[in-house]
Amino acid sequence: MSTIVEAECLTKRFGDLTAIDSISFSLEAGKIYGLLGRNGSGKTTLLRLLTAQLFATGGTLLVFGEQPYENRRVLSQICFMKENQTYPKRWRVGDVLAMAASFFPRWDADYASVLSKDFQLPLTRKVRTLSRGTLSAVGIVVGLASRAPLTIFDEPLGLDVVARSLFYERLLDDYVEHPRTILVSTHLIDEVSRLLEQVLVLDQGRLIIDEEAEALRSRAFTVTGSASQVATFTAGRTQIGGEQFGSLVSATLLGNVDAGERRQAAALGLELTPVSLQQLMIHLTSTASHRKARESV
Amino acid sequence: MEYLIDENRPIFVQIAERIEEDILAGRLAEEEQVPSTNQFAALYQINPATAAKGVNLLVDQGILYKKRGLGMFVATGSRERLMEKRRELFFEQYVVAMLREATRLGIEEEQVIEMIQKGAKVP
Amino acid sequence: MNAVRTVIKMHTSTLTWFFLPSALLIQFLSTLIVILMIRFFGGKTPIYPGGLVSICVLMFLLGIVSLNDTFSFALGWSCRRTDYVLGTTVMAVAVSAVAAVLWLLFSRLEIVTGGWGVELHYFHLPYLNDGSLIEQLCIYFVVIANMYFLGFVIGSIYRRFGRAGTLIFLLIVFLLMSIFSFVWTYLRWWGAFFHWFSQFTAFELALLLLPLTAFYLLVSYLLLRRAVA
Repeated sequence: MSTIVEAECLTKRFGDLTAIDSISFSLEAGKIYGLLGRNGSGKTTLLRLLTAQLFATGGTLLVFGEQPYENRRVLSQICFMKENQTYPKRWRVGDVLAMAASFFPRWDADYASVLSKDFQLPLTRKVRTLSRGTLSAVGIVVGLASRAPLTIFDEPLGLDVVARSLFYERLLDDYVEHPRTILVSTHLIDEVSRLLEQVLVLDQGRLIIDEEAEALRSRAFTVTGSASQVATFTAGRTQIGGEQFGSLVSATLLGNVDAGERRQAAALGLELTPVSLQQLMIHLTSTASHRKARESV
Repeated sequence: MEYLIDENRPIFVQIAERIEEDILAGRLAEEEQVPSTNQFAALYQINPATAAKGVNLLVDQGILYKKRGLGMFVATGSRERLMEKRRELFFEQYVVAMLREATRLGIEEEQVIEMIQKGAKVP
Repeated sequence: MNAVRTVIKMHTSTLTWFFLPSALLIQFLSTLIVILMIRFFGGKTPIYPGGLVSICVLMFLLGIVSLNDTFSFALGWSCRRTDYVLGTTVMAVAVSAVAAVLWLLFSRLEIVTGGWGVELHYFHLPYLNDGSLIEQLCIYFVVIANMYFLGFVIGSIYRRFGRAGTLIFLLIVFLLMSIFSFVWTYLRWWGAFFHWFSQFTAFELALLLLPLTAFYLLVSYLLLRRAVA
């Protein structure tokens, strides 16, 4: 497994604001990664650093083993489809696809043609007149047909349900047939999470999670019941969230329950429910009171 | 078939469970080939690595084995092994739960036994 | 070289460059119409509006504007800054060359028709156009290209330093020019300067513009290398 991205203590400051705060991680070739986090957590900044559109304030970043800045060897292997991409004036959708063939060395025009039919792209319309959803679809078609060894989608999910489903399907199909590294950055987690192999979560510029998606699915659970009963369960565990409705209390706790504990819960009349990735992230991100919980993940 | 995957539980476990179900129900015979991880991935719209993890789980348990160049196959005797595993769980999953519910509803032990016997007579 | 070709393709696809000839043509035709009306009403003096100014202004604006649309976009699509500058330069040089050739053709036509039949000296001006055909061609080319890259430099300053930075830069330039002009007037150097200046032919002056153009290009490149997409 070769490492295609390696970041060490990567930092980016904009004046007083620290957008990326000393993060270290590595991405391996051929996996589908999710870069998750709330809006403003630093995801797009990180991606712009990866593609040398922005300059780091500190730390190191290697892509395909080299610095990406002004590096054709590296840049020619990256396709970065950003959110709200603006195209040169007067370009039509057809122009976008035609130009993409020149910009991306591994462009597959036939595949692009198939995809643009699938996503119903209006080839003759000016790009500036497109709706957000159609613009996203254009980005997806370009991103997939580029077949770039490192393909990055920044917030690609501004589509309707049918188009989203089509995206997941096409992405998987092409990934299986042409394995490459794909990075999907989004704040909408649950639908896309089943496609991800590894998940990185940014919160206020810090990398708080860097794990297998599967491992995260059993990271926490919620126990609901009367306050006193729940209390017996929460003893000795880290609580990362909680709610109260009348006399009912629910607590979200880190860890797992084994069979014995399940029996215990059932006996006490407590309800145990799993915690989705989305909920896990909500609990772990951006409130100071949750920082402690985050540190024990 | 996507909606059959519960995203809140580890998916690879669910893949393994499905294969187990298929073996127990006879949909997958011993020595029969199991669908490839890519096929699972496409069917459930999940990452192929996750599907592979589920398959490997069963390989580790001896339920499946790999034939080089051909794929994954159901091991001989796996059905019996799975049945045994389920039998062990039966007590926990069904009997204990049943008794707990009975207690909650105020049904006496003898009544429960009567019900079981009555149920056994129904074809 | 593929990358450079891609940048050129990108520029041509935006069609911004092709407004140049149309804009000039419209300007020329409107001038012609005005002159025709003047002649009709009896005005007899030859007129020297000097269309060269128009094309200079247009190329200058083009230099500023061509960055706007395409720099961020190209970088977002994995283009290197170096390739972007190279491709844009090739484009600018090609457009300047074509413009220069066309200008020369039109100026020849103007001479042959006696100022388009109405003594309108639009394309061909004395002093500016003395010298052989080659020299004239060079003058047109260098002047046009210089104006483009001047605009390009300003555009690059904007890309690198943003709106605030550009304003500060322009302010400094204005201040320096004011000081410069004041000092020169005070020292009465203008007279000597013009005397020295007038001994050069237009062609020789144009040659002086070449290193200046190269300087603009170099500065633009250095600025864009540190510009954020």
